[in-house]
Amino acid sequence: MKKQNEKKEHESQLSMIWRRFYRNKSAMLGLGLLAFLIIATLLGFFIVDYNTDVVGMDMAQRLQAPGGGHLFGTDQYGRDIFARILYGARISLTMGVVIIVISFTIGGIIGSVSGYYGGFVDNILMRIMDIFYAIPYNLFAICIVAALGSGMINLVAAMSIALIPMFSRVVRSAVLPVCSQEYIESARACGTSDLRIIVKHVLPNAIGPIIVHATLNIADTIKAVAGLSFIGLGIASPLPEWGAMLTEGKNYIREYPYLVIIPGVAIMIAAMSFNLIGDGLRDALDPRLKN
Amino acid sequence: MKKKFLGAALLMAAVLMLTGCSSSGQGSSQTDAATAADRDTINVEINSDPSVLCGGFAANSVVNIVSDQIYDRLLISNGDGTYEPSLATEWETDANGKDIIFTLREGVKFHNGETMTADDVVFSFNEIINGAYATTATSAMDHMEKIDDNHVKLVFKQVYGPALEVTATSYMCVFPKAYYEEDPDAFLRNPIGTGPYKFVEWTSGDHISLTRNDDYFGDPAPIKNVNFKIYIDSSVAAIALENGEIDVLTNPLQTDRANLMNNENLVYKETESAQVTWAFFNLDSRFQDERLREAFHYAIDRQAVLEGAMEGVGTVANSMFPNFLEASDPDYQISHPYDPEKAKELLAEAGYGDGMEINVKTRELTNYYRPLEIIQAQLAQVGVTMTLDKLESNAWTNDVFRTSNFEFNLISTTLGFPDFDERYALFVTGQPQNFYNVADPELDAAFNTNRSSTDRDERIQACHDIIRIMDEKCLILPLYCNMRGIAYQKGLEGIEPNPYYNYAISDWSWGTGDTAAAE
Repeated sequence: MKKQNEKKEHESQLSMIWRRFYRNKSAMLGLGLLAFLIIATLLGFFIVDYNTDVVGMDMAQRLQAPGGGHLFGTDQYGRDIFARILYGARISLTMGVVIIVISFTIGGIIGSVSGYYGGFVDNILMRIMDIFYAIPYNLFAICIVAALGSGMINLVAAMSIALIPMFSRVVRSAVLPVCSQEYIESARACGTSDLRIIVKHVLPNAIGPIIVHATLNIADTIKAVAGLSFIGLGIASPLPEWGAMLTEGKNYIREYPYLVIIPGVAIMIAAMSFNLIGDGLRDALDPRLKN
Repeated sequence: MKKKFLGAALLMAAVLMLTGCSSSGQGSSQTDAATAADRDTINVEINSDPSVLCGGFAANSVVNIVSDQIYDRLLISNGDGTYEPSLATEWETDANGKDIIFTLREGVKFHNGETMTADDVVFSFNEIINGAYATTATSAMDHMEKIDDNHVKLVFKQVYGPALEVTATSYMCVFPKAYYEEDPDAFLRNPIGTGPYKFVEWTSGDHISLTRNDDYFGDPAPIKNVNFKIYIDSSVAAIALENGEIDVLTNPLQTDRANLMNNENLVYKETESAQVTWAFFNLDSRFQDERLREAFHYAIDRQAVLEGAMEGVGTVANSMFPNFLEASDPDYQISHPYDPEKAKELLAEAGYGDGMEINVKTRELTNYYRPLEIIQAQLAQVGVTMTLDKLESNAWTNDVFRTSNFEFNLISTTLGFPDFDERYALFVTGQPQNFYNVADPELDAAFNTNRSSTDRDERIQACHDIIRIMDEKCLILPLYCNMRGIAYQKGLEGIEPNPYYNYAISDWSWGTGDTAAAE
């Protein structure tokens, strides 16, 4: 009986958050853009064939303007840009989400352990994180890619490792105030295991700021992946990563500007959608804005 | 709410900046040469930071374009088998028929004021002959010796057809022995020669400045100061040219060609280049199987590579040599034209019926990775999965050439002097630069005939044999002959595109009329 009540209250809190989120126009715009991107990505699975449309070259069709036979035109190798953008959406969204999930998981473990135990453990873990934190995050990712070589897996590893210190700090700072709450003390008094306390009681109560941070960082990650690909350290040709498409098009920027405008706008839409959603979530989760 | 839209606007600006940032490049504060009345300075684009500033200690055209202004050679090649005197006033073949005796010009002064002696010439030549960089030109040279104060003898290992041609290359610089021996490393960064320009300063990654040598033995250079400005991205350099930040663009990209041609303030000239782009195999790898090499030849549509990588400017190559050489054979038809079906059959025969994977490392230059990206797509059609890694230039050279750590790769390279023998050190069995591990007796014989014969027809026949053997045995995969363009501000005179990227800036002038261009 008691449990059911708890659940009900939890649900109502969720719906309250959703209500506040729903009222936020820019947040809904972000959600709309994201939905649009996801639909486009899914559509890509059905209408785009990787070998013929995405990487298949046809010199007779090179540099065709948008419209006509090709919605977004063709690039310098005669590849259809619309197909490449759709396929690229798959890469960018997956990379953004996967990198955040990995770094968030590892960073979350480190952050919650050091926040929960405090003292010596906290000191050691956080000083190690400080060492990593002292290296600018982009530079760190570039170093790892330079050492491991470029490629999708290496890029995911590089970006995830580079983001771990930040996430562990965010999680630690969110966990710290929760740990001093009375219900944690009482759980301890009941003899609940540390793991259970962290997973069941600490994290759920600290999750708000963490989620906001994660969402906002997906946007940054998408931009960073595009940036690294732009300077040739990210996803290797012929995969149609948006940043790589920008680099390929940049020599043609004056005569065929659509080659850079289209992937540029795609990056912008993806990054903006997560930014708006993140902002909206922050407002919706902020108890001070409750009304 | 306002904040969010401001954020969105900023983000949009950031993305636009990401697309546009490459064009901001290296701004210039000191140059307004295009508009200035006192045109005593010329700003010349180069596309990378040279490793050293003496042509004898590098095999690199960027080094040469700087080095050629500072140093003189013994003689200057006109590219057609005739020569102009420079540091040597006369030359003749020795009685033994293989060595060459040069009469040195008297009273030539180095930039440090000292007079050039026969000892300096002998020392410079021997230093370069014994060095590792100039082997494409020096492989037939044995040593140089002094006869008397005005005569030196260049001793060859054998009778050597292109003997004068190699002596006239940018490699064979003459520098002061005493200054070099003081500190060889410092010399390479602070060059002293006899040339029409002397070295002023080198700011790594930014510019190299030269100024006129007023004690030059020939006609003084019309333009007083030369600044070589380094632009890694040639399309940025094209914009800098349009803005007047530079006066001469020596490496225009084909993508900028139309823009530059249509610009009323600029002149764009081009000529057939001695640069040929070709792919090659390591015969000490899976590609020792000739069927695999044939399959790659059949799989690649050279016309499409030319279209996609070079905007179709240039011609499809049938060999690694430019077509304008006397010994070339422009009508020769390649034996393995584009035929993906045959490629698939051959791959299956060679045991790769289920596909093949190959990794290729390339340089971060568009003329390297763009043709490879097209080849990658074409190979994918016949079931070969090629992965492409872009390396920094020195890392690439080290990996591919010093250590032969490759299976299949591509190079875009300019012939050092107009003779097939320039490739001797690359393809003859056991030669120092034979990174391809080519060992073909028939090819060796043809190269040796071209090297040692003095009969013109026999040499041409040997060169045709070289083309045929390399093609039939699929030893390399020639792709296309490039065009060499040069773009410059209107008003400049005396600039002609050079197939070998060989430029004498002392021939250029701002066309004010009072100083005639030097010969």
